[in-house]
Amino acid sequence: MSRKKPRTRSTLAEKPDLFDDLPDDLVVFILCKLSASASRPSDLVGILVTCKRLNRLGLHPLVLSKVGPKALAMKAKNWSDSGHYFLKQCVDAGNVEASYTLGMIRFYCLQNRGSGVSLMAKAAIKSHAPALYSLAVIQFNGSGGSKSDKNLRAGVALCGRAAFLGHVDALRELGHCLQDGYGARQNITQGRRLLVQANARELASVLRSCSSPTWHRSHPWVNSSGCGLLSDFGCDVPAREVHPVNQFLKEWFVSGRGELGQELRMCSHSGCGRPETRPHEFRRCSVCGTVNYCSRGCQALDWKVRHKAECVPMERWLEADGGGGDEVGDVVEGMVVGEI
Amino acid sequence: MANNGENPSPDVGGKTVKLKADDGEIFEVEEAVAMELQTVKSFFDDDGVSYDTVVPLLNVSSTALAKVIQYCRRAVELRAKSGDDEGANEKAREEREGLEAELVREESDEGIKELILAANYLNIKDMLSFLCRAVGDRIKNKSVEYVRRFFVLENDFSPEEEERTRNEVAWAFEGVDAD
Repeated sequence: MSRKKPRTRSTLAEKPDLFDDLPDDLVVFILCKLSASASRPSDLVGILVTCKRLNRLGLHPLVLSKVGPKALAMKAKNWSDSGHYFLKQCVDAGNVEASYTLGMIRFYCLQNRGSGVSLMAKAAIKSHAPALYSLAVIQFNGSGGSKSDKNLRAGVALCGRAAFLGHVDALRELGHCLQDGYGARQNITQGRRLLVQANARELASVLRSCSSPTWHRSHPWVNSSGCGLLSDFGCDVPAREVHPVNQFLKEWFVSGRGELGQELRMCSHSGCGRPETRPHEFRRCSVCGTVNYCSRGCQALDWKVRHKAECVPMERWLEADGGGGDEVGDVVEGMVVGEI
Repeated sequence: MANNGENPSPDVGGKTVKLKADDGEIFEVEEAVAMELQTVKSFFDDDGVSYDTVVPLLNVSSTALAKVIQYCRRAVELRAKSGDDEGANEKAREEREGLEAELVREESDEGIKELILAANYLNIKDMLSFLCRAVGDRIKNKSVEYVRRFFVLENDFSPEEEERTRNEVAWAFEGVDAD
């Protein structure tokens, strides 16, 4: 597969051409390593402009299948048809992260619910924990449909699988569901145990990544002034990492690139980025009624990190959707680890 | 000790193998080290090949071969040290990564390419893997010109094609390292 190119450099006249030119399969191997370790889209994509051969090899399915989530993390303001096409090519190459990313973008930003869900399902089938969790959130809320499209049992099942894979938000969500008998038979002790486990896992993963020397260099967006999340453990650690696609969703709506329909709000947890797909889809804080969340997990997190300090009781709100158990009622305090 | 087609006896301590580079230079290496090079291993797996035979490696320069042998020697040493102990394993892994970093740090781009071709020809999986990763790191987020120089490529896009390709990837760009 190696191509002989005319050598113009006389110093190499004595060496055989083989040493000056790498065969295609080795170049693909190198590009695979590059795509897997790339931390930004530009790390990888610049290669495609160099020449036809690298353009062809850079778009080889093997290379595309290895692209990591950070390299797929384009900025919302740069979204374009060609960016969309690139993600699609990665999906076709079997890239699971790309399936999840494109699924989320299509579902929430481009309002293409069916395609979004099927892409996320593709990732979920390959045991992609964030995809499983996102699908659970959609089921819990009946996103993209009406209130009657909610499927609590399906949500719990999906959360279960994500939690089994170690997804902290799913663990938390599951814990709440068990405590409240929401979508599953009520089991308060088990629910509580899961919540503790979620906190413990979160601490472990944050501490593990904090100790890595490259951590701070590669996470410039993380607020370095610490968050109150794990203060119960007596330590103040930086807020945990947000998946690039949540960042994308947030930028998309906040910047106005995507239009949020009238009366539709976004999840008040800053790391989430999910918008409502119909009015009053999300639950509101029953104490102050000014913030709303897509899931108990987001609510719990935001309470600890931010809302606890600013929540001021107003007249009690009931979920405007009417009955049906949407009320956010239980303030999150009760399951704080500090109590245990 | 001539070994005509039989498998070597278990106590092979001190047994060496001779490797010949493209310029005729002969390297004598311990058997364990030589067997890291899968190409050499399969050379001897053939029946009827005695361990005294000099292995001709016509596609590998002596400089590259020397470095390869040096790396494999230390890798074999590290592996022997670690054994089953969890802690020692971790330490050995770090040492190996240090060794790899040291090897690539001082290499010129030409040198790395030569090593990659050698590791590919000699079929040394680990070495090829970290060398390619190192190259990937070197070209990451560099300008288009830098990458062209590295792989020694000519820009065969026509101006319109180049314009089109650049537009297609504009979504990814926010800033590129200086060369």
